[in-house]
Parts: sequence; structure tokens; C-alpha cells
Amino acid sequence: MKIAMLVPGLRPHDAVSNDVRGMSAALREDGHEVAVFAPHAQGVDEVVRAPEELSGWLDRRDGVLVYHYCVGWDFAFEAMRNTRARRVLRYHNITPPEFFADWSPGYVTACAGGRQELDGFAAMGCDLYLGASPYNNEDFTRRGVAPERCESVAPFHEIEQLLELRGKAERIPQGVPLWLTVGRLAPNKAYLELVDAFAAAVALDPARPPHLLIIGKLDPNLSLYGEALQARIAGFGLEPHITILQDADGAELRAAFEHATAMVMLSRHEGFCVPLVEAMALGAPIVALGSSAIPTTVGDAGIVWDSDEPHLVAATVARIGRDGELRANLRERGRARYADTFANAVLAQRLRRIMQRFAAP
Amino acid sequence: MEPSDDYLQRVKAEILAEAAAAQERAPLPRRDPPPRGNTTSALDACGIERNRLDYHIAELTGEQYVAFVEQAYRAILKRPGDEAGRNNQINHLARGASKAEILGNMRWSAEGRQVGVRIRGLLPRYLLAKLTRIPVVGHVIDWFATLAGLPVLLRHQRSADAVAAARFGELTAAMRAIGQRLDQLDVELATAGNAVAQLEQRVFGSAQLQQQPMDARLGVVETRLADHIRSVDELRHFFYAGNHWLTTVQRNFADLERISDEQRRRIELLVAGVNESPEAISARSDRHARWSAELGARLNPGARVLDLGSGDGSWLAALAARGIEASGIESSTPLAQAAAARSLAVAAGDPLAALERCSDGSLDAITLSAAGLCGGATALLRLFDATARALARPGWLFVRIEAEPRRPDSDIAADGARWQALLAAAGLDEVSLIESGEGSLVIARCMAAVARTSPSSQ
Repeated sequence: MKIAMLVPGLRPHDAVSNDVRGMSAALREDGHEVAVFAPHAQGVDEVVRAPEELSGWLDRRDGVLVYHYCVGWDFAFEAMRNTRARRVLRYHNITPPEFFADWSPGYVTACAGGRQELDGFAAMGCDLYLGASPYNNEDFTRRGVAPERCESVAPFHEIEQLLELRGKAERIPQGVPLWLTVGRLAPNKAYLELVDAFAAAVALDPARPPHLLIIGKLDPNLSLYGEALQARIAGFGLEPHITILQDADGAELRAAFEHATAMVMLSRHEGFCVPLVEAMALGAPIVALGSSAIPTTVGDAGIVWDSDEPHLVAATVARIGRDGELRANLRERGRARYADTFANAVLAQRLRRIMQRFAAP
Repeated sequence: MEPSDDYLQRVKAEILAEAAAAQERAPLPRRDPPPRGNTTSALDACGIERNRLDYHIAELTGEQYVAFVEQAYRAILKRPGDEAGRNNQINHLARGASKAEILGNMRWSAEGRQVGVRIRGLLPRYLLAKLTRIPVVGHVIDWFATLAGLPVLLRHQRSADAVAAARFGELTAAMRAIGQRLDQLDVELATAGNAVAQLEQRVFGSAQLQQQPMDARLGVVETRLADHIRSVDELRHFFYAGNHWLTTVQRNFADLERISDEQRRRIELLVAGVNESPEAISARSDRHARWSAELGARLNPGARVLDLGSGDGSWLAALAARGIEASGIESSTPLAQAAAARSLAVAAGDPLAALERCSDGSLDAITLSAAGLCGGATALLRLFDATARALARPGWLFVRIEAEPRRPDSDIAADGARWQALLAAAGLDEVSLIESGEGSLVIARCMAAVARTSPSSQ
């Protein structure tokens, strides 16, 4: 069967790009002919065709067009509407624009434009709505899409490659309790609230203050948010206790997870949150706010709260730091959940079962 | 609920109690609200208007070349242009892309969509530019668009004529004013002359003595007036000559472009014909067998090879016969189609661009079948950079020098010794040259380490 993957762009170490490559590899292993179409591709080991070639390549009704929907893109919307092939909407979610109000008018416009396409895709009647999480599928069931047309498969990832690396810890703070969080510096990730919680932790134990390590990049278009984060850190006088690494490589990421007392994720909106799965695989206990897709991603493999009250988050990390039994229990749960639910082989098996519905035209 | 969940529930209850106690013991200090967007200045440290998201296309098309591209980056992507991206856009301009197409490509890229700048007047121009890129149909659309634009061009021409005529009229009026002024001066001179004469008669009685310098001054004024009138005539002549010259240049450029396109199509058809003659095929097969043996001695079966400038694909067939996993890129569409028809993995496209899109260390060898591809310094630098990045360690670069290259216009297309020297100078080792009557093969090994970009988490 011919399967076309359509994606706005491919680049290394990007969650959507990893998913495209992982899905393509899994489907090729099942004997399907898979081609990837994208307007931009850099540094990825994948033959990429121009989107304009899509209609010529996929010209049969028994083919399948998989569109990775993560941003507004009118070309893809028209391609999905006009294709003769069967349609699969792989939905990675789009951050609601209100998170960017006061920080970036451009992000507000782009996110609003992207989410406006939700109504069109829901009305389009795709053959399958393949969310990265059950939470993502709610965007379509709320718009009248039948639940039997919705399935979820977690994103494919590069964690196997991360597990093969040797950790590089030169820039990783050591000898103190280490709070770790991973993700781009954006308002929906709630870094200001994270600093509040961290300040509470420092106030709890000023004699042996913990350290907060943030691994993630700041988009220059969100520079206002970066300035606000620096101001919040300075307001608490926490500069010596917080490190932000915007250029960490895989080896440093692995070392950070290995040295972390806990992976703290207070994000307000996540379509899936791959860093949580990285924490499970690499043995970092998880403390998270139960927003958006986070509860279904974490499951029973971490401590999830309905509140991000600073003292509650601080007390949770402090408890993990001094309670060896709890630490070992959470690590064991994380590794088990990764192996049983999120390993690429498990995802490939689930994808295979779902795609069987397209076996006969 | 399972026992393990009981355990977590118990721990969470204990943590809740600890948190409540900690809140009493060490309340958080008061914090200031974060700064908001409307408190910052319009321009940031890089001179970029981050909060401005609405432009008219005329604001972005006034600059030329590098300044135009840099302005587009700052307005549309809200950042300074990076070197690779800027060069790419400048190359597009040099290849004849319109400014609207450049702006549209940036605006509707994934990055541009994220910024979300609105450019009034861009969309229809961008759509038209994209339509003209469609094979055959696009050419027809381009013709029609050009024909449709003729009235506008004529209007622009008439406008230019009107402006020139207006300027000419202004000059004539100025000259007329000068003439009137000179007339006034003449009158004043005459008056002065009379006054002087009267004065001379009245005071000194030497009118004749004073009249001579006044006559000389009058003569100078008359000479200047004649010069001005001559200048106006010359200016008018230059204007007419310049206008004629511009029209001729435009016509010549159009003829040159049409002849160039026709020649390119003929050359491609001729090359395809010559390559498919039985004699050429026979000679090529022998040569390729010898050269593929050289490759086979250095590569294992299953090695990944990318061939640049594959022609009709006969070289790829020789590699495949040795169990090498080879694919190729050919810039000539007829040749690439002929190879594809033979079930060979040859795609039509820009070979160097295809090499640059390969990931780091993904190839065991690169063969350069059309050495003339790298006829210029820029192309050579692109080849060496991309080769050093895309080859595994060790990796091999093979440059095939045909006795009768497909692009004889390039000065190094058939010069194996020069290639040998260039590769050695570029830092590749074990550079060797195998020469024969029908051409030669330059072989080089790449061993040097290459800096890798660091991954990020999200």
C-alpha cells in the first residue's frame, strides 16, 4: 500500500519529525511503500519529496495520506480535502493562543490560525483521526467526530538512541538536590510558576538549597517571556541556584536525567509531552501538574497533582530526595511504563493494528 | 485499588500535610508581576520591530539584493538573516525569482507562519509567481501574464516619457527665465551705459573711454547666453539617445534569454542522443566496468553511494552490479527520465543541492560523474563542504573525468590532474589519479573529523 506522510518540516531532535520518521520506518517494515513530503528538511536521514509532488505520487484511491497536523498550513488542508486517497489526520495538538497573549502577537496569530483549521478537519470526515494522546482526540470528538474514527498512538521518539549514549556531566550541577525540567521556554510551559515552586524549596532548606536545571531553547520571538523569567529569578535572588542550558546535547540530556532528584513538569498545555517519557526511560522520578495530556502520559509512573501550589511541589521533590524507597518505587514504575507502553516497538505494534483497517480498499 | 496505588496515595497524603506545614513555616516572599509586551520599545537590540505584524508589500520591495533579503528576514521572521538562508534567497534572486516570490516563500514557511506577519498585496503576486513554476502550464501563464502586463509596461513607459517631458519643460522654462533675466541685465546695462555716458559727458567728458569696457562686458554676457542655449540642445540630444539605447538593450536582453533557453534545450537533447548511440554505450560499459572495479576494491557490498550527475544511469548500473546500494541525481530531466525508465534510482534535480540535504555521515562514497558541475569556485566549495559532512569515516570521493565531458564549457571538466591537486589541497588523503585513453578517475579518501551539531530536547 502506498502511504504518503505530509509534514510542515523536518529537522533533527524535533518531536514531530521523530514521529514522522518512526512511523515511516514502522510502516515500511510492514511492507508498505512510504514517502515523506515536506517543504523543508535539514539534517535528517530520510528522502524527502516536495509537497507539490504529492498529488502525482499518491494518485490512487487505495493509498493513504497521513498529515502530521501541528501548525496551520493551508496547502495541507487543501491536499487533505482534494486527495482521492484515504485520509489520516495525525494530530500533535496546537497550543491555544491565549497562552501567548501579552508575550508574542505573532504566536497568537499563528496558533489561532492553526486551531481554526480544527473545525475544517472535523467537518472533512477523515477516515482516521490519529491523536498523539486521547486528550488530543477530544478536540475532534467535541466537534462531532465519531469516537470510533479516533485512535491514539503516542509519538515515536529517539529515546533508544539516548539510552545508548554515555552521559556528559561537566555542566550538570551535582552534590545538591537537582530539580530538572525539559522543554522549550514558552508561556504554556509555566516556567514562572516553576520558579515560584523552586523558591519555596529554597526557603524550606536555605542551608542546603537545591538547584534547578532548565534544558530548553528560547525562541527570539518570545524574548519578552525570557525577560520575564529572568526578572522572576532575580526577584527571588535565585540566580546562583538556577541554570538554563539552551544548547545541551544528547549526552548532557542523559546525564541530567541520571542526576536529577526529580523531573518537575508544571506545564499547562501538552499534546503528549515526550520529555516525561524520557524521564521514565532514564530513571528520573516525575512530579507533574495534571493538566491537558499529562495525566494520561504519566499514568501511575509519577506523582501528579491537580494544583501547582509552590509549597506542594517543593514538598513533593523534597520527599523524593530524602525517601529512598519512594525514589526507587517511582523509578521502577517509570521504567516499567516506558517498556510496556511507550517503547518504539510497542508503538509500532499498536500502529500496525490500527492501520489494518486500510488493508482492504 | 491495587496495593501499589495505595502506597502512592498514602505518600501523597503525607506530602500534602508536609506542604501545609511548610506553607505556615516559610511563606513565599511577595513577587512583582512580570513585565508585559506593551512596556517594551518598538525596536529591540537588533533593530527589529518585534511587535509590528502588518506591512504593505511596497514597504518591503524598495531595497535591492542583499538589503532586500535582510529587510525581509527582519520584517517577516523577526530575526537577522542567517548566512545559509540569506545566500539561498540571494541565489533565488540571481536565478530570476521575483521579490514577491522570495517574500512569499519566507512568509508561508513554517517559521514565517509561526511569526504570522500580514503583508498586504503579497498573496496574489505570490500565487502568480508560484503558478508560473508549474511545468508547461506555468510557461504559458508566464506568457499570458507578461502579455497582460504589457499595458502596464506601456503605461510606465508613457509615465516616464511624461516625467522626462516635464523635466525638459522645466529646464526650458528655467532657460527662458535666464534669458529674460539676461534681457533685464541688457536693459540695465544699457541704462548703466547711458548713465555712465551721461556721467562721463557731465563729469569727465570721456565717454568713449568708458564705453569700451562696457562693450566687452556685454560681449561676455552674450557669449554665456549662447553657451547656455547650446547646453540645452545637447541635453535634449542626450536624453533622446539614452532613451533609444535603453530600448535597444531591453530588446537585446529578451533575444539573448530566448536564444539561451533554446540552446539549453538543444544541448540536452543532443547529449541524450549521443549517450544512447551503440558505440557510446559499448565504450562506456567497458570503462565503467574498469572503474567500478576500483570502487569495489575500496567498498563493501551494500555500501551507500550517491552519484552526482548520473547521466543515463549506466554508471549506477555498473555499481549496482557489484552489490553497491547506489542512487543518483541528474540535472537533465530527459536523461533522468531515461534512467528511471530503466528502473535505476536516478532522480532529476540539482546534484549539489541533493548532496547538501544528505545527513551527516550517511554515505560511504560519493561519485562525481559530471566533473563540469563544479566549474566554479562556489560550486567547488559547496562540494567539499557537503562531502566532508555527509561522508562516513573513512569515506571515499570518486571524480570521474570523461574523455568527452558532457559540459565542455567548464575549464576543469576534463582535467584529472587539476582535480587531484584540488582534492589534496582540500584536505582529503590518499588522492590518486587513474588515467586511461578514454578518461580518468580521481580517488580520494576522507578521514578528518567533522564537528557535529548538538541536539536539543524539544
